[in-house]
Amino acid sequence: MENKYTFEESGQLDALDHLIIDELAHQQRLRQQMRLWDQQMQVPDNALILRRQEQRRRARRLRLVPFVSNILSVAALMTLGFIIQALLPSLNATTTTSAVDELSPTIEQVMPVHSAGSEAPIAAPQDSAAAE
Amino acid sequence: MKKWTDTEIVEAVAQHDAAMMERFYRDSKAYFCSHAGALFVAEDQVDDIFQEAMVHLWREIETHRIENCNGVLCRWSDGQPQPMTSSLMTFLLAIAKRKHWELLRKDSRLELTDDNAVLDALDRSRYAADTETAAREASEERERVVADAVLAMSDRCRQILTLFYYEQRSLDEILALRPENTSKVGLKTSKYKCMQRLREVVRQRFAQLHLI
Repeated sequence: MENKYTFEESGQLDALDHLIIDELAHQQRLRQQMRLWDQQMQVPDNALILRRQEQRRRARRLRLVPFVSNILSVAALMTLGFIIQALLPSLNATTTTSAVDELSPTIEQVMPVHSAGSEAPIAAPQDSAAAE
Repeated sequence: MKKWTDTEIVEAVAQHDAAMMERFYRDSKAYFCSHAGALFVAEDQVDDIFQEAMVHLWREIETHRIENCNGVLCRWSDGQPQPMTSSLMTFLLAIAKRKHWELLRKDSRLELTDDNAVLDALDRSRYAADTETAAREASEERERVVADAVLAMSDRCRQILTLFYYEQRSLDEILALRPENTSKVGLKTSKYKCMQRLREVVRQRFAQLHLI
């Protein structure tokens, strides 16, 4: 096997040196593996990125719902108000006439119309006094 | 989501189960980062210290210093398996704490690790009953000794030797990557001294353990 240590110490490495170098290499590989895991822990993968984007979208939608419903409620109330306001005058007239009609006798009832020759006309007050 | 036991994690790491090792690494990292403040570890040192502690733990598992002893985690010390009284995570935090302390007391003027500190870290020996077991255990012990020596190496030496032997860069390339080395001759001397010190520490420990 070719001695890979081709520098000044080539051919001078004994079994102990190889033990030491092998141990050095093994520990270094462990460190490199750990650094790789550290990097993987810091960089999120695509699935994670997509999941977070979806969560953010959902959170935005949830925040929007009460805002929109508030707007709609206010608009509905305002519309209702306008409708009521528009209907209000006609509602007032109708209500007043029928009430009066129900409660008050008609003029004909209070002041019956003379039929021809059957009833004496109602005397004016001065006529009554003169008659006395 | 299933929570793995310490013995399951140790078995998986010993068998180089990549998926489990990754899972253990991620979970441990999360826990460590949340508790690093209690260890007074500065934020910019968290990653490095955690990584070094994890390498240390993994090598202990891979070299069977920590292993599953009939369903209980044990750690070999002074030739005998001792049941672990703490969880793997607590053990990892203890390693991290020690590494942090070493980082704090490290004198930048020193190029090489103190021998006594390295030998203290290698304080164990084992005695096998039969030849075949002895041969296997001797091989494992040598691996442990070398692993400990490399782990205890200074960051400076580790970087230079890794760049030269693992990445197979030339001295000129290493010089370009390491502005703190001002000359090629100085770099070559440092590389030689780092490697020589490692050899001495390992040979000394091998001799103490009768592995050579």
